[in-house]
Amino acid sequence: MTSGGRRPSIVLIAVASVAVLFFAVPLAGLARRAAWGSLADDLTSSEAMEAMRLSLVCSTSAAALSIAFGLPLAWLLARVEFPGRSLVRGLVLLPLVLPPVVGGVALLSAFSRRGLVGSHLYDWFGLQLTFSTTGTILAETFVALPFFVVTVEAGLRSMDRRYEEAASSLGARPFTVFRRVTLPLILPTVVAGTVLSWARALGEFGATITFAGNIAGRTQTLPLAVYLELESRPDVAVALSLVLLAVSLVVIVGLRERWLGAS
Amino acid sequence: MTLTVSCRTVVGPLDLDVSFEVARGEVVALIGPNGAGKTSLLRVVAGLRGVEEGRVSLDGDVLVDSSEGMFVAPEARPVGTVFQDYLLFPHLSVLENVAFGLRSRGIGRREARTIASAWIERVGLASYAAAKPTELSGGQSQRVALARALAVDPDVLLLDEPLAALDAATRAATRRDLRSHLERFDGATLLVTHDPLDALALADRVVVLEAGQVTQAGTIGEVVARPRTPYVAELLGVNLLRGEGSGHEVRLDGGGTVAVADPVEGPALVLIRPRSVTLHHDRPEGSARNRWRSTVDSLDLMGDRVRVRLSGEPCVVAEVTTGAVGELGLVEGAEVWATVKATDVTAYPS
Repeated sequence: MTSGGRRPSIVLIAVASVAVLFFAVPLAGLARRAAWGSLADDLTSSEAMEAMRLSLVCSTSAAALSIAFGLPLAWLLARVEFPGRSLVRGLVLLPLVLPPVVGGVALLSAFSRRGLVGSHLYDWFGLQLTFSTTGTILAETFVALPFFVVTVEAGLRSMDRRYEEAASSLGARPFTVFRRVTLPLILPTVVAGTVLSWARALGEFGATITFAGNIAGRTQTLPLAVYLELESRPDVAVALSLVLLAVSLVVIVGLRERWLGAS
Repeated sequence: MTLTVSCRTVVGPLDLDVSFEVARGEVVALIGPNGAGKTSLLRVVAGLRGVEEGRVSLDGDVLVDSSEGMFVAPEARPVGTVFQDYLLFPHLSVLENVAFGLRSRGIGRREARTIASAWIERVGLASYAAAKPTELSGGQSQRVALARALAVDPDVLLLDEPLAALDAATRAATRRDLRSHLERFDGATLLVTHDPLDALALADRVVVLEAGQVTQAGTIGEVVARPRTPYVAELLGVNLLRGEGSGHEVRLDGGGTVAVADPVEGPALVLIRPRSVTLHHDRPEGSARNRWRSTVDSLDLMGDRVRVRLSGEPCVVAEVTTGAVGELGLVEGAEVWATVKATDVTAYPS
């Protein structure tokens, strides 16, 4: 510590310490509560393995869908002035603040067998999204996509667009400019957006359980399994929580450079 | 093949209203103070900005015509651009940067690489082909940007302040390089600069742009001899002579030698401000190291000053007061002695 600098007041330090403990104590509790001896058995139980497999499949699919639909959307929002742009942006951001359970109810009213779109999907294609893995992926994409769009739109806005002009003046058509110049230049934000949307999808609970239900092997992802096992087999619930915690830590460390700065 | 530009458009606070032509093999410098609209004009030619009213054409081929609603997209124009900060793609190697335009125009990977390699060699950077732009110096980046723009064999080359980002030491060498490449380029070149030395050293003609309007256009010789606005007089109304330096002397290509205060070796540009040239009736005595006999070619009144064009060795323009003209009896054909102090002569390696 530099000498001569003004010291922050004791009260300030005390209050801040309480806040830090507020985050740290539950983690310590989780670690203490864990049945470390049977951890391996708990995690390799068929229910746990099934939930982990399903979570991996669904969150990865949701992240892939976020890239596929989020990249064009982010590009339009960042680059094209069209009427109602701020309205569209607000609509995309809504799931960030919307209670997930409300998102689930909204998805139900749209995509259930009797929903706005779902009724046609069922009548015409025999497709039922509720209580299916596809429905789980849909619910997870609903909450994950905004993270991708927000991150990538910011990346597109902050990049030096003159590189794109240089590319088109060299004869590159718009798609070539995007593929060979824009995308490589914003790649770090695309990676960050993908990781964030994947992590959000992995942790998704409210919209999933409301829209897709809680069916082992089909819609019961890790967070749902944690919730269910907490009553019957708390050791398994804690073990699965530790898995989710570990994944979160890896994401935070991986994105440290971007979010926590170099300091 | 001639590039014809005529446009009227609003650029911020500026009403850009400009017409000029650039012929095949010609280098035209668009010169003017900051904010005069030079770069905007370049962007219009490149297709990176539209015009409210105007027409840009390359012989019969229209690039932009507001009256017909024609607009050719930048990627479809036979125009190569060297941007001010070069804008080399940071994620691509030097070779990939130079090959970018060829690949974008549908040339196969192998052939594009062969052509790009040849260009990289031509600008003397063969050993940097695999390097990333961040590993290059300013002068090297400029050469890569030039190679990238020329590799697609454009009909028009646009250069936006190509030397502005370089330090003084690199500038002279890079300018000389650029000059030799421009001499070999057979298309039309439009060079934007605010540095008179760039214009004088690189261009055949200058178009002076002030506050969105062309205030003067012509060959370097004409503009130097008869600047029409105070800005042009201050900026371009200088004598620029080419020669071979050897210590404190420069032997001029057009005949004669001048003494310079700071030694210079090899090809050099010599700059003499017209107001540094004094005129005398008889052979003068004194400390001025440069003295030569001249004949008055023409007299031009510029406010209360007169610009006197002299033929002799060297041919220069002198700027004197109206009073001096009367006192010396300066008329066309009169014989005078001209003097310049060596300390008033600036020599640059070219």
